Amino acid sequence: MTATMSRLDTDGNVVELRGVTKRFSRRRVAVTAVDSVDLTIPSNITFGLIGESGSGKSTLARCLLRLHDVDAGSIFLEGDDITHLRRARLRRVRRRMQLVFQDPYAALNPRMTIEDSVAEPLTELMGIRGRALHAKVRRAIDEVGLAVHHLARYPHELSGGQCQRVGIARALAAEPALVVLDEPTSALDVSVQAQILNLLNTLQRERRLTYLLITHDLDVVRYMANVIGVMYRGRLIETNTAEAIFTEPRQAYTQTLVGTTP
Amino acid sequence: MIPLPPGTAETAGQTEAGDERAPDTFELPRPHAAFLPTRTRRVIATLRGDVLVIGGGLIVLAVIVTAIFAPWLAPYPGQGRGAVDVAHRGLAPSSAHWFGTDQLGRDILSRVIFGARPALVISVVVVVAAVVIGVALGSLAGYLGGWIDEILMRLTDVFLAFPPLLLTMIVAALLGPSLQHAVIALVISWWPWYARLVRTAAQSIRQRPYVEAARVSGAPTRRILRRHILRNSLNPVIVQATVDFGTVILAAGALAFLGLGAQPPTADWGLMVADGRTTVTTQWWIATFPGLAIFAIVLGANLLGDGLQNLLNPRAVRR
Amino acid sequence: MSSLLTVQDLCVRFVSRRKTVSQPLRGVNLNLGRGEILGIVGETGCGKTLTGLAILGALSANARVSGQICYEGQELTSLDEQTRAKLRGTSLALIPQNPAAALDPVHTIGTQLQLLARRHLDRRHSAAVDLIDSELAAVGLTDPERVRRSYPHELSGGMLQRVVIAAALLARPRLVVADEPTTALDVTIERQILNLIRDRQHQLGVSVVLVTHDIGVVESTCDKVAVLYAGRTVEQGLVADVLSHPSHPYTRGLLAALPRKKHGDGPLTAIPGSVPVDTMRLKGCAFADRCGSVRPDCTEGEPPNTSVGPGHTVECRYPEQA
Repeated sequence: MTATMSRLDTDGNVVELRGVTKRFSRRRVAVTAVDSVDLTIPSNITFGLIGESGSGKSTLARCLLRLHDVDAGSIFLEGDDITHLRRARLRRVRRRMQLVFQDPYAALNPRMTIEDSVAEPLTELMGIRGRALHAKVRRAIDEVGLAVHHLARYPHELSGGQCQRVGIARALAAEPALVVLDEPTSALDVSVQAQILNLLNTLQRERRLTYLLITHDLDVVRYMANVIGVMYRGRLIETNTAEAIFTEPRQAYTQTLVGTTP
Repeated sequence: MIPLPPGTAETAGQTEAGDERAPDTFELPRPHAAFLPTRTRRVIATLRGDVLVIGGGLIVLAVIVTAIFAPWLAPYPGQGRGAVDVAHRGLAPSSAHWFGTDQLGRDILSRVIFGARPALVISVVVVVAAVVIGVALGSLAGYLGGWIDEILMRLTDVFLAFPPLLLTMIVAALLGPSLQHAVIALVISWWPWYARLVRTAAQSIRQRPYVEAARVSGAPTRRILRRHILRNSLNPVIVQATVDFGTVILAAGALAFLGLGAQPPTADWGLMVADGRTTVTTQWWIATFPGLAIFAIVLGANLLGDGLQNLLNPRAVRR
Repeated sequence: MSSLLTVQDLCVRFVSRRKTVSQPLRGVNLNLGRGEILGIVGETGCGKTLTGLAILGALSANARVSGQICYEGQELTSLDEQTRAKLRGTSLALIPQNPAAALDPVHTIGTQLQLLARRHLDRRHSAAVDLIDSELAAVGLTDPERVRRSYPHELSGGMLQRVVIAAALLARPRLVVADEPTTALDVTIERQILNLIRDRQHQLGVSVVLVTHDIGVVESTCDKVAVLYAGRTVEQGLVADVLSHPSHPYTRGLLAALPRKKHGDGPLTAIPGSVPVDTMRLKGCAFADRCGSVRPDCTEGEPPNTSVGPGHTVECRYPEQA
């Protein structure tokens, strides 16, 4: 497959997915994890993706981030077709989309200092080294509310909330347009969750970021998202503004889902 | 396209922008002296009171020191290198010869001391070579998976199907008896264990979110292998290598005992045990003292290996 | 109301080589009546799971317990291990956090439940099977026979959670400790499981200690609540009182931090900092360094236990009056 970068006029939309399908074969049984999903995410909003575990929301996000290869469909990032990019070209678009993980400890290499973890995307994606690198890392860490003395620490020396701040600093270091937030607060306590959600909102405002927020927490998604997509068995069954999803859900599954907020 | 209410991107009415950046101010307790680097502090805290690990370390250290300073430590350095003294054949331990003398009148103590040299060289060379080969192939197989993994693992299966000592003996016998050939034979039967060990670790580590994070961060495969996979899978390897440091000496001794390793007149523990085996009932000291030397180094390496297991865990001290 | 369980000034410390290495519980007070559900709520490391284990007497060997755990007028901490082991499973039971880990993967559900029935109830095979089937049906598993023949990996997370609830209730205990029973489940299933616990608790008149980090769960399921912070009960009372008139700054902070707002409603009220890790070095109120209304004398000595309403107590020098 030749990786020609075709352009698509997407009206300033950051993400455009067309018929994205991903199958996994487990013991020769093919499971369709993501089933022809069409999805548009406009610039500078938070798109919430909800659904139960195994509904395919994480797989869809990983297809978008090109961590999985899709079986069918196309992925456009800011108008560029990135569906089949490889190696150097893929690395060039990685700068524009980043990921924040669910488990803040597991997302950091236990044998790398905080400084090295945050520096990795700067070196690998932007080729920044030496003095400039150090300055950039400091700025990134400062922006998420951590101090310089945290840089020499290892992940297990920090709290869960601090580790998640490091994860956010790493994701934002390369100045991406899109950040996928994969259950960013579900491993955190409520008081720390509030800190992290506030931080994410502030950063979005300041840097005009677009978020794809994956979560099963309905309170979190209602607070964070402008638009919500509901996934069920690999399909995107309903997409609407956050308020509409909660006040006038159309699909039966959405109705059971949002009717169950404790 | 979903209709968006106007101005949804702007979150209205936020006032305390400075407040939400407030860092987690709580500092972890630092009970020990603050000037020590963390690693040193961890080592001290783990070692404190662990007599067995220290004992193991001292044994290993003693063997290394003995090997280096053998000519100065041995009462009869010439005999340690192989000089014969027929006048004093088969003497029992005495103040002149603490460990007695062998059938050619050589001081056993001197020969045990000189014997530390080949033992150390063999085990270091074998372990280093086996680790290098095993770690390289194992991490590749574990991280990349697919057909590379398949081929490498079937290859190790073939090696692992033989009892290790038997395989070593066959290879050594095929190559012909010499110290170099014994080393090659030992490396051939040792590396697959490391390959397996590293592959298993690499397979589990490649699933970890931080490896995915490295991919998102644009790290190329070789960097992911080096910084993320290898760094986090080396612990069991280091522990295993420490233990093997002793085990290889034992195996090399067995090869020498069978005439497949070091050749006379080298002072080699295995060879010395072989020399003394026919007279073990009448002149017990000839085989016993080199045997004890092998026992001591194997024990020391095992104790040290166990201790390292705890030491290398970065979370070991924190409770 | 007569109380079934009273915990007073419960402290747990862990020792290693005769030295105390940590003190995760520093004064937990609980009060649970018959047929009530008490929620123990708090953040990571506040000691809520340990409190549950201490009640069951299932702490590790290097734990040292002080204080009182009074169950049906009996002081549990002074009992010998044999008597306590007999109490566990018959009078006291545990619904574990992770049912997949609590069940043995190589035996069928039926085999494992029969073992329980034999050990705790001394039931022979046929009688045990009937009992097991009726209990499985009671927790909403419609085909008990199929469930009995299944291995744990053949059932979904929600079904496994129902199985361990059935297992806990099999011997008709009077007190059940449920440790985060819904954390691993999806919202829709979580709702069902909480309803199930509530229903069975009503039908059997059993008392439940529900350990959770989720105030939403407490709100929907519990009668009483105890808020734990750094190993102490900082506030307790009826759910209605505590959640509508929270008196401790920490309780108020927890409630305010919930993202129960719509998009664009402005920032959440976070509690700055994080939970203290080393509770042994605390002086005075453990919450002082995160508290918005801290005063200089808050760090001098433990805060007093004050009553702010009927059955509603708070450990704070300057509680918010309802």
